[in-house]
Amino acid sequence: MSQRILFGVFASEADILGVVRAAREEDLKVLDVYSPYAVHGLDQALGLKPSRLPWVCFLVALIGAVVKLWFEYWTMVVSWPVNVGGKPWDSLPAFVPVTFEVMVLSSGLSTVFAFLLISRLWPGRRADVPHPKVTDDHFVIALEESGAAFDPGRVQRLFERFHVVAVEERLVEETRPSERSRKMSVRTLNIALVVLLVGTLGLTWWLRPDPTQLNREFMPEMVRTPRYNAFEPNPNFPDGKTLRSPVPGTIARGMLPIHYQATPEDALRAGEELKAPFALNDERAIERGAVVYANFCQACHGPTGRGDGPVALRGFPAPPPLMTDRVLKMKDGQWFHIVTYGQGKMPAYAAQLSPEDRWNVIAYGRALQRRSAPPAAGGSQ
Amino acid sequence: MSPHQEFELSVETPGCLRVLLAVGALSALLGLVLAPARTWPMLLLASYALMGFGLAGVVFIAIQYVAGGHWSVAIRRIPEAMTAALPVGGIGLLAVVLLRPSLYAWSSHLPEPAEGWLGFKHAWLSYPFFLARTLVYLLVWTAFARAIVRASRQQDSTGDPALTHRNARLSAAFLVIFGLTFWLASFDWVMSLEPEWYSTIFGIYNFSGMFLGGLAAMAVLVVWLEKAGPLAGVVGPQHRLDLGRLIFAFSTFWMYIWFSQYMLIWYANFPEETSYFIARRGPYWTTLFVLNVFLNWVIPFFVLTPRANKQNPRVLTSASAVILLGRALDLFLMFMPPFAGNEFAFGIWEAGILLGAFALFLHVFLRAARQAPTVPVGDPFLYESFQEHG
Amino acid sequence: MAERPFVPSAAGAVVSRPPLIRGNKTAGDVTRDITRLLESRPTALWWFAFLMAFSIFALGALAVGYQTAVGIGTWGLNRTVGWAFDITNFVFWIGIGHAGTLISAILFLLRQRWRTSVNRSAEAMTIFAVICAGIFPVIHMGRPWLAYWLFPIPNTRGPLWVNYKSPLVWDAFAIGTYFTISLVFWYVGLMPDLATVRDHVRSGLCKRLAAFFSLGWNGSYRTWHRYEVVYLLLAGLATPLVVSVHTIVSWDFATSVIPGWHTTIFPPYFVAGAIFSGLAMVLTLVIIARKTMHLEDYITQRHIEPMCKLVIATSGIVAMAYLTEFFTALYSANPYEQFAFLNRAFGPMGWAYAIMILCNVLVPQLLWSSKVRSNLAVVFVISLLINVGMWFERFIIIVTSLHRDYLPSNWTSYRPTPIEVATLAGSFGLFFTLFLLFCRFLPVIAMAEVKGVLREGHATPVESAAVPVPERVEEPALVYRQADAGAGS
Repeated sequence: MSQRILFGVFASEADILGVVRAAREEDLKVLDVYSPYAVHGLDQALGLKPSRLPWVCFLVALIGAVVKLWFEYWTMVVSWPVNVGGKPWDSLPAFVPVTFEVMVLSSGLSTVFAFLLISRLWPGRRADVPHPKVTDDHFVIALEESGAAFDPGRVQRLFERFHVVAVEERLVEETRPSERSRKMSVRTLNIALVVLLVGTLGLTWWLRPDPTQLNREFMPEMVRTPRYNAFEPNPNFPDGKTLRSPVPGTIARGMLPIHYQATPEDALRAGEELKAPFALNDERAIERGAVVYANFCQACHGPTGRGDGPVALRGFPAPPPLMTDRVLKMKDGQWFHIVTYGQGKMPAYAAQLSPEDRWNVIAYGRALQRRSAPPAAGGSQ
Repeated sequence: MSPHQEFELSVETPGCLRVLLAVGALSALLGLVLAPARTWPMLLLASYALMGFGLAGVVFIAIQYVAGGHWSVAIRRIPEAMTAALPVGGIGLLAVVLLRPSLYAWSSHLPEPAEGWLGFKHAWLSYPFFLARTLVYLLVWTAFARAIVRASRQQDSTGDPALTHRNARLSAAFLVIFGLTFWLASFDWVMSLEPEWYSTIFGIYNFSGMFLGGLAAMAVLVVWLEKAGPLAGVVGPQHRLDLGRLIFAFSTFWMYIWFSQYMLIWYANFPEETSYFIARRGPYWTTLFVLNVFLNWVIPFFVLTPRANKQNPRVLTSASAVILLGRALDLFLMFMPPFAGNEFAFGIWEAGILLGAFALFLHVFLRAARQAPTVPVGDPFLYESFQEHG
Repeated sequence: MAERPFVPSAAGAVVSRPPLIRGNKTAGDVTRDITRLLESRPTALWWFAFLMAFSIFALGALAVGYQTAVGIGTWGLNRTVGWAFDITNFVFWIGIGHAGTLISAILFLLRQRWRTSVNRSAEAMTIFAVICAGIFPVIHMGRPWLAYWLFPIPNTRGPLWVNYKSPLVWDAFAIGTYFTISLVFWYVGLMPDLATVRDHVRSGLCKRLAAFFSLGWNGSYRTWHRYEVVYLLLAGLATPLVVSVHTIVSWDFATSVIPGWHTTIFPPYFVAGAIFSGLAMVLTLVIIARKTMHLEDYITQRHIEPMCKLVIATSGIVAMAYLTEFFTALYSANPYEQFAFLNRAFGPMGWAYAIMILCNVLVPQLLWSSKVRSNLAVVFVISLLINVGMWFERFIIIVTSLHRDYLPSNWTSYRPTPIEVATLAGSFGLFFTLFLLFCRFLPVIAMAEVKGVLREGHATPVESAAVPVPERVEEPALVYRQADAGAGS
């Protein structure tokens, strides 16, 4: 199918507006108008429908904003919440700025792309200009030479009424891409693919990566810092060692040295000097003390502290019951010394029990004493 | 005014207006007796709102003169008549400030004067100085409004283009003075209701609300007068489109300023600043706080986005009415929380006073509009303004 | 028209204004005048300016290379003043860009037709200024090759996302969006003009590039119709965008807890300041272009005048913001707040404050006089002074707020190193290099838009086309010809 198109060239804005209005009044089919600038009022004269591009803009803006807001929420609240400055995870006011920017970006770009797509504009496209002066200062009307209304003489008179400058007729093939041009484009694509393939293979062959070598590094980001290993000799220090030894008298964290010997005299002294770091009737201390007692003491001292544990029942010399007057009067510090260093047949528990647990078990021992003789007990301070 | 009879305002003051005026006066009087703690701040609010409509009118005219915006010449009589609300609101404001200084906490229990610059606040917030400033702001603004309106009306009979140039010069001077004083006035009258709190954007925030409210009122009045007769055939879709665009723009501007203030105070989280918003996020206030954003921005924004809606008189007035409601709510949120605490303080007194203020504004507007033709018939750019909507 | 018969009163004659474009130009004249600039060989003056700009740019590039290799220690920053020249320059350049968008988008929405002669170069200025601005935060990172960490891309660190609660991330998004949308806006505006260049420049690189980038534009009105809609939509998007960009820049400071930075007026104040400085830069560039490229007919008093008035208006807003800030600091009764502002004005950097007040508040007041406005040499000097003043404004905000903070034991001073000065100079070199290239290779005046406003201020009404007005017909270069036999005439 082919189409005959009549192009009329006009020199002024008023003429083109007039000729378009007149042609439409005479039921001529105005295919298009070509102009060097956007002529005010020509869209009404041509009877063009309002563009739907604002909808693209609005909808993409809406989608962009919602998706970005969700993404910010998801990254900051769900995927990896990071506490920055004590702000809540879901900091809506702080999400607004980026949401807005992404909304504008997505809607602006999509509107322009939609426009280019609809108007069939792309880089490198050959311009189909009806008249070279159409991008300068002339205006062109394109009429379809068909229909009952088209009468060459009348069109001629119409054009002359509006000071036509030139008239040209063109036979336009149906704008379907021809077989030849389709073949051309397929061949171009094939050539491009072959060039790409050959190029990639050639580059690989030329570079010939050596799999036994590390890849080349760009900006290694201090991954390999020059440093001495802990036990390497080190020329920078007088003693030649890398690892520094602690200053004499250094105490490890959480360590409180006790300056006592494992003697009964020191046990008495400890009774005078050492005080429990917490109140010994503390519920939690007693609770923990019960666990410690069950694990370490009950075997000899028995479940109630009467010295009737399974070990004693099988013949090992039984420890004295905790309820004896002597033990009741014993100071807490002396107990601590005994648990730490042992006494008589009882071994030292310093290696097994932390100082805190030693106090806990003393608290439990006192609780056992109270339980067996509630009214008379008064030994613990 | 005989040569321009067709432009005389033939709109009678509607009867319901008188009823509303009476309701307003009654609730103000009864409120002052029965619930003075709520009524006084409400009267301050109503006066400030009234003054704001008048001031927005002057600012609009001045901007149009300075920018050479000729599209608005045909509707200029509307903002001109609105300026009559400026002295009325000003008198109300002055009366409240004079009769009830204890509205301002600083007037009764002042902090001890401090050394050096730290004493600045003490000196600034002294009652006589405060009164003097109030008087100066109101007098200067009113004087400019009068002068500009007078010259415009003079032009009706003389048609002298020199008057347009004179008004342009007056307008430029007014805008400079307005820029220097309005933010101070909003600090004085509104911000110092909570004397511990301060926010530098507060003046711009007040301006945005005031101007948005003024534009919305103008749109409603323009559409009404077009329908009622005096502006029929003068105002067209292009005028509505321009007004709608301005409302759209300033609604968004209001949102921008509102968000800037809220976000920055929320982000920095200073106790002396967050107090303001904590007072407005109490149990009863949160709903109003969110509603404020909807009335002033969300609804107008989406309603007025399509071009056809801005030109449609009914849609434009509905959106403007929503904004006017939003303006009342915005002011309510600005003024009331320090007085109401955590109680919900909107009842019969508040509603009555707001209705009364609305009626008073319309009354004052109509009275002023009757004094001159509804179209500035002598303005040299009137023809251009007509052509705009061809 | 009014439905009621209404005749404007006798005095209501239409007051005429001088034409926008002088010399009774026709559309053809516009095409010839502007495309000729692309065909002619560059003048000696152009070469001189270009080599000058380029060598300064090269100096800056060397400085950037050095500091990237050695580290940020080459700058004068210290532990108290952690931001100084770099961020000052960043804010300065971003601000410059804003006037371009104001002229291209906001004035388009306000239907200010004088924008047509200056919008192309103003938009170009925007893009180049944003490029200059973007350099500074990136080199401030110290490891600019990790700049992509600013984007929320899935990564092997968790994925650990960017912190959307940080104003610095907002900034990255704002600047990126601003650059992209400005570029697209500029390009959309260029499309019809590129088609004109393609069809009317005789030969050369320009013509070939224009043929590629004009996307096959043929002036079809169906395309024009959509084009107008797209342009309006882009203007509508760019307007809130430009406000948001400097707002977000101001939030870099205002969300902090530093006195002098944390103040709620910052967003509108920064936006007004940005437009103020940008208009000054547009004036500078336009006056230079007008002179050196002989565009006197296209850039007239009708273009300079409104820009000068906008400069007065924005200067007033900026002055109001200075006043509000200072007043509120005193009013706050907060000793830290008060100290920050008193230290600004009367402290060791009081001289910078004085320069700022002089250049931004006092000097622009000269423009109230129409005699000053019509003297381009004076306007040029004023525009340069405003740029100096606006640079100092950012310097004051950043450095004086930092150098004496809450703890007096932290107090220190700041002095830029030669590397920093060279970087600043280099950014100016880059800006002018790009601008001069733009003047050579692209139409500096938006031809398609100017052709639409040629009659502005001339008597002939455009609208009365119902009865065609006899127009002056172009020279009879066109032959009345008949294509093939058959119909046609």
